[in-house]
Amino acid sequence: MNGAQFVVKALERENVEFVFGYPGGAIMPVYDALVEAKFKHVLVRHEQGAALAADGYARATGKVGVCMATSGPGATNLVTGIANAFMDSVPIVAITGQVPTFYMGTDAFQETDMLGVTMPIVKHSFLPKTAEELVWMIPEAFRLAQSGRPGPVLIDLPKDLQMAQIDAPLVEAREQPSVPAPDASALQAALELLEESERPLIYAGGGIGMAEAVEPFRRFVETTRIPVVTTLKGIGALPGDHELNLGMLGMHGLKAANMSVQEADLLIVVGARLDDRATGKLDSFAPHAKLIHLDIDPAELGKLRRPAVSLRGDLAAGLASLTVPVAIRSWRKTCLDRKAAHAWDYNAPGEGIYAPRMLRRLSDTCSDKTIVSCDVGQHQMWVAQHIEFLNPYQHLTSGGLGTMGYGLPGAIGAWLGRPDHEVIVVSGDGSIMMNIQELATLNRYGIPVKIILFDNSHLGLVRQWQELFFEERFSEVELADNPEFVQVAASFGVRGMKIEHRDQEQEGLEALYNAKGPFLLHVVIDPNTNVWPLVPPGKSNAEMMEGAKS
Amino acid sequence: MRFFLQLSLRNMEGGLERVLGVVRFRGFRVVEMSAYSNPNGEDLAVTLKVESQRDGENLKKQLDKLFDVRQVEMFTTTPVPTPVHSGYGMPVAAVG
Repeated sequence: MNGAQFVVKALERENVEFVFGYPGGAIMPVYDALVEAKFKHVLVRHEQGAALAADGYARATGKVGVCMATSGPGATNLVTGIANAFMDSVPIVAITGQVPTFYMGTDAFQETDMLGVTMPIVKHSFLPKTAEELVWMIPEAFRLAQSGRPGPVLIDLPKDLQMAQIDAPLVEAREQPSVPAPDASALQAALELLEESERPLIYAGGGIGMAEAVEPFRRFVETTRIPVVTTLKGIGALPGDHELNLGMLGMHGLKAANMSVQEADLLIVVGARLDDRATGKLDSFAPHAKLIHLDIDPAELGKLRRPAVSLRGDLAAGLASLTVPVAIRSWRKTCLDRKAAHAWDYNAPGEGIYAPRMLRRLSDTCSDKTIVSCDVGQHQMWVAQHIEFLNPYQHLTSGGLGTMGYGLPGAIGAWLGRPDHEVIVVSGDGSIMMNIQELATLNRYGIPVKIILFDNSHLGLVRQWQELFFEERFSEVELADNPEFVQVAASFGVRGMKIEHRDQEQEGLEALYNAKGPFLLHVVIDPNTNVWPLVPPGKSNAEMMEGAKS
Repeated sequence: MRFFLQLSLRNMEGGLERVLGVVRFRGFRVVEMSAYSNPNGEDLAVTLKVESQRDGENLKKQLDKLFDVRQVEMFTTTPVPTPVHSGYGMPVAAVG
């Protein structure tokens, strides 16, 4: 067989179900071999959509997502999606065609140094120089993408190697190294801190879901009865409606969550990296707290704040060792009273649609078979604040990179990975235009993704910052010339409906749910509605701003 | 603050470049560097003298995560001169 056929066989060996991609000159031998592939190729309409769909598939299923593109512009169009996966530790394998080895380094047609371009945004990248190297590189790429802290791996595949003969058999990947339990003496020190603490708080991150440690995490919470705050990616580690869940912390975090962090004397950080959007100004973050930090990645321990105890290794084992009752009745009551005192108020003036209330209404209809894939902006924060997720994999959001355009392709990957789920995109009028071409992918494959498009005719979050921090000098945020989205959807073969008044909310949601195939619900909202609370950039989480709902 | 890093690398496509990229991105500046391949060209022994206000231990941990890096050690004083592993001796880079 030739190298391209070998690649396809190797992907089958890795139990790949879908490859999201787009063909072109330097990857044509692989596309020729795909004709006989046992897995399905999903043709997207822009390579960025391929990488983000692979990301959505991986987040929704826990398996490795695979994307493919040709050399040059095809490959560079994957870059944002690869960076997105890198920032949020999502296991994907990206396969790019490359010009033949004898043309490499000559500025050949559609030649880009993809190894160099992607170096800072991958766990690793492979550039085979002989066809035989594919034998071990492909399984190794899949192993690396999933090992330890997951992430993207690139295989840049010169065209002559795709056409070269390979006589070697397929091989299995090396075994994943087992993840060690945290050090016993460190666990003992952590237990002592837990026992001494009067105001402990759990800081739950995305690592809990990725480590498949949701159940041991919930046992830890139920036994210790310590209140929990979550990061954006930690949402769902504890059900949104759980009594002890104080909600998301950080820039658009809940008041009860941020205030409790600032008063805590012990933070138990579980699978999180103390991102600046969560901590606010770092030197005034949790000023009274010692840290117990559990993570699989040793480079995160002490990166931004030195923990009193580092527990590097298997989260499930670490959490099991800390699952002991603690006596914090008074502190718990303080946190829960605060949560009740700062509960959301969904009353808003006027007859227009108030997005937080509509999302709350959506939340009430969600089940453990609902996945919400967000874009980036105000609506993303409203989803994080107002939808009560039951599991981490139900909330797909571009956290670290903040990639506008993630929602739709992410949802495509998620639905293909979990076709028994209702997959809903929550987008904005800025974000949807970043990858609107993927409506064609919905139509092509009959993917029944539902889209709720909040349209305030502005880049809302940028507008909000210009209003608050740039003296209302609005610069390039107004999008009044948006297309008529329902017509755009119709031209892609996707049905839709537009609503503008709050008394249409229920009708709109029913149309969305009852649609047999994909559907776009265009929701007009007030551009003056801001996301609250807000911690101004560079400020402490104690300095939350709150404003009118307009 | 200046300190030394001594690394043993798989001499794969882009290995040295990856190390230098991490050093730069994490906020460190290379002051001196030497790199020697072993006779079969499979491994590289690299010594770096770097400076930064940032914590060197964090850089060491980031480098240790790279697939190409077999081993990394950090020293605050001049380490044993390269070659540190038997068989190294073919310089591939030296700046200072």
